[in-house]
Amino acid sequence: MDIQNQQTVKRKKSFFQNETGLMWQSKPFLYTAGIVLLLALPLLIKNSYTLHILILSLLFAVLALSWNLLVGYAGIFSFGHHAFFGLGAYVSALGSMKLGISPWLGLVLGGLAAALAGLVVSLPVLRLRAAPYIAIVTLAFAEIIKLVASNLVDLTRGELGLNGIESFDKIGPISFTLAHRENSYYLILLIMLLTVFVIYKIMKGPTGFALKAIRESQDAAESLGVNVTRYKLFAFVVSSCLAGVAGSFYAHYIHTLTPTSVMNIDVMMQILVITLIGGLGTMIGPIVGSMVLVIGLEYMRFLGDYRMLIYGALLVVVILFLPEGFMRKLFPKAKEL
Amino acid sequence: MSHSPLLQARQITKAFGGLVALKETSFSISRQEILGLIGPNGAGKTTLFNVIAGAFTPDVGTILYEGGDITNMGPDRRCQLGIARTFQITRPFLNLSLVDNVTVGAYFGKKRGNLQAAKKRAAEVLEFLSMGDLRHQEAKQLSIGNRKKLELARALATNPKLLLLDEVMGGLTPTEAAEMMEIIRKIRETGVTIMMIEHVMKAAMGLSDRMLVLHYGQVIAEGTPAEIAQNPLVIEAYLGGMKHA
Repeated sequence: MDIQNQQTVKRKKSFFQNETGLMWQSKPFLYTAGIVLLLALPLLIKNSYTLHILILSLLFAVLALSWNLLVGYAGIFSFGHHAFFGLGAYVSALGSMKLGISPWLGLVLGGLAAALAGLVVSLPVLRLRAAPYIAIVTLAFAEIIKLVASNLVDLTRGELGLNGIESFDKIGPISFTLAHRENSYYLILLIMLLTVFVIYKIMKGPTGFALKAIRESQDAAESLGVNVTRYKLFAFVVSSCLAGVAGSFYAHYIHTLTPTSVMNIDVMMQILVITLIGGLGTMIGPIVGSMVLVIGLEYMRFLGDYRMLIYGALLVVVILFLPEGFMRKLFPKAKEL
Repeated sequence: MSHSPLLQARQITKAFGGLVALKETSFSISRQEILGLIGPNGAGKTTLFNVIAGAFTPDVGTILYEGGDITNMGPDRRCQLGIARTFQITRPFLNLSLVDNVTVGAYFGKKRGNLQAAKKRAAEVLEFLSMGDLRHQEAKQLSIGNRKKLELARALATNPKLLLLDEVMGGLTPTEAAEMMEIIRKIRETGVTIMMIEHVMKAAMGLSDRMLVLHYGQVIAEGTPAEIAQNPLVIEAYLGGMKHA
């Protein structure tokens, strides 16, 4: 038996030797299988429409993951996540259209702009402790950003929208135009994996302990030396930044933006439903939730407006019978990332 | 050094709207003593704790800790200076394991922490409270008695100089209460100063070196447990006086 084989055997063994005793529930197995599957999808799927749906579901996975950092891990009930997404999209799109900034740099700028906005919003939000007030303030903030985008007609053309936004520049032979969707797929997959990595690193470290403690009881966290304001601020800024990066990707992938398409409340609703269905406070929940929901909704289009009805019913059923989300039921260990 | 009090509260007043919970309350606590705080319901005991721990800022008055003014300092900073507290209504991190609960205190209770060291310390503290075998359980699975012990474990993990215990005996079975008294004695032996609110008189009298009686937000008596037990003002506050008897 050669070395490589031995290693595989060894690794397989460790798959079996996790706490639950079930191979398919072990973390390394899930992660590896998931990543391999996601990497292989464009090789299996040549249909460009299907690929488009997959790209959108990865995009929503990034949004749901970053929202989950705030809500699921830190317990800050923000309902303004779509504003950071929209802000990132507009900043990046306008940067490339008006100032000729490369969309690649736009990814960074979009993220920074959203992070800055997140910092500004979090200042009033962090003074509030009750979830309903936080929800209202963040929702109102999102509405303001959307109204600003609609009314700054000279800059954004309002609801007429921005059209012809540049694609990401070629990297060598790799082009990101609509004719080469698979490359956009790999780009958003990379962004999503980076998001997972960032959140995983945060949650495994001391900050993760602080955020979970804050979620469970702010008073107790504070009494044990946790600087509640600092950690909440951090979570808010990181979460907004990731949403902004997603927004920038969206702008240069879709090539057209209107305030309604990126900053309407239904974007927020979709993020919320994805996360709840997948499982708040889990790493894998938002990803799977996004796959199920975005793809599911797309293939229910033939039902016309009834699909939203099914969407609503699904949410009610999940909240009533699976309040912890699908992934926690399927994988009891999912909570530990 | 040992003669200067560890903590001194001067003329603390705290009102909630029209209700004056603390009225020019002053007291001090020396190093390594156990100070019992008793008083009828609504006397302001927990408010006083909140003011000391930093959850409330007093309207008037100052709090000195190791000689420095901490009146306007937040609870997290005070914790890092060595003031730890438990809550009367326990506030466990329900969805975290016991060791993670305690790790929060062990890591953030210090200015510069190391997560691995904090986890190790958390395990040690749980062992000290003989909860070692429960460490991987989630806090929501605990009984009341163990929740009280978890509160204590978290506070202890921050390495306090002053430990504020808010009714840690409440709701415990007699066996658990006896165990808790033993634990508190052991903690004091390690050099920790303890201030405790206690309704279980046997525990308060048995553990305290000195006692403070609060009534309508004011200190009405102060002294050794024996003195307090015979103080007519205290008897009146608790039993309503001879006239009504």
